[in-house]
Amino acid sequence: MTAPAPIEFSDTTVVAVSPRQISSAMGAEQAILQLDSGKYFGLNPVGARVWQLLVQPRQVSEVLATLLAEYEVPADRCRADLLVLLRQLAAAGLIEVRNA
Amino acid sequence: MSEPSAYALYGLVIRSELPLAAPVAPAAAGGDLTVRLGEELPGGAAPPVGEIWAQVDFGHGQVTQLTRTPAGWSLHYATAGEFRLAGDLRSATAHPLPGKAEVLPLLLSGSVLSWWLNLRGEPVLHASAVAIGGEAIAFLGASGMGKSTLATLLCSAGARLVTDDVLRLRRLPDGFACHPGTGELRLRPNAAPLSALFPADQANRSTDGRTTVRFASAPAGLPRLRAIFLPRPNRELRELRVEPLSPVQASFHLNGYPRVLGWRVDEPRRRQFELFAALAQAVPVCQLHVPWGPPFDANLPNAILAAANLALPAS
Repeated sequence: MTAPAPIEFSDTTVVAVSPRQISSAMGAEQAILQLDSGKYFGLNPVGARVWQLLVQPRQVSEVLATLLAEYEVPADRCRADLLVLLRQLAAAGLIEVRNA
Repeated sequence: MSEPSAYALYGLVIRSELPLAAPVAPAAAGGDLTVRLGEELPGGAAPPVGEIWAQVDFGHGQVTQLTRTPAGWSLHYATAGEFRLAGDLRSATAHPLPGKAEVLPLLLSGSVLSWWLNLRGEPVLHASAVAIGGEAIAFLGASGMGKSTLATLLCSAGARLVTDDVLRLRRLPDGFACHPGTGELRLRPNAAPLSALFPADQANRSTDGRTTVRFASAPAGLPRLRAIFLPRPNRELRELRVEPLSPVQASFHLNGYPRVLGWRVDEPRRRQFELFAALAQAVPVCQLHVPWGPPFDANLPNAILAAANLALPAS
């Protein structure tokens, strides 16, 4: 089992997809299987875009900057939504989170 | 020792001392797996010691366990016996628990070959399929969800049985085709009256108490899979309702109904996930909300086929 993931994120927190999952892009969406829990997850197009970014380890600030460049969304709203998604992904064991 | 009979099943040639309800393979056919009957196990025999690759508990003491052993694999059925598979997956021996020898052939043609195919790297679906000409539709779901009932209704209307309960797929450059199964539909007691839709000489009883309907010939060639339906029986419903699923939704549902469950190792689950993801993108998958019977609406087979853009040949 994966260790409990920290749920606090800062701009410098590094996030990346977990090696304990497999995923498949389906059109603009993403299907994911967590190998330890056996649970399946689906991401909508925006979540799938975040997922693609996390294939390489990235700082939260970098992910946020990319999303702000690609979507017309207020920065504070984008940050809040991103952190919600990252917490959910971490709680599900789908991403690894590393704080400096 | 007598030479085992050769059967054609799921696109394979199975040589087996256990009698299978499956078409006989051509005399010159080779053999993918040879199964011999081994000695009886003592009552209550436990699975062997080894790395547990999969375990699934169906309740009422029915536990299936796949164990890696020094000699290969053990597939242990707590209420029936054990199949010991050689490391090269070319041969196996079947060992019944006392008084359980007669259930081993059914286990072999369904569960055991499904595990064996997975060990060879080929996930299979928990599905029944019928064909119209060279095109097939599949009914996917857990036991008791109506797969065999719907396949029976379609066959009574003129479709041909492809397989019941185990669907092995062949990947095509632009889709999937279906390998034929045993040529027999197995009906639970509440669906058994449907056997009356067929000539009496096609109906029989299986060793697990189900009513079976036997079909003489499998469809020629491998029919192309045109749609996958997930039956949702509903006695309150008046009309068939078809609910298409997005590829992501379809993938989730497909992953919910592999023919074998309970893996504790990653590789078979990865293969399942990858196959089902490809399938969900190549073949339409729909939930099928079916006005359930008996009695069933006489137009139900046509309505189901129409949902896959297929039609019965004019009689």
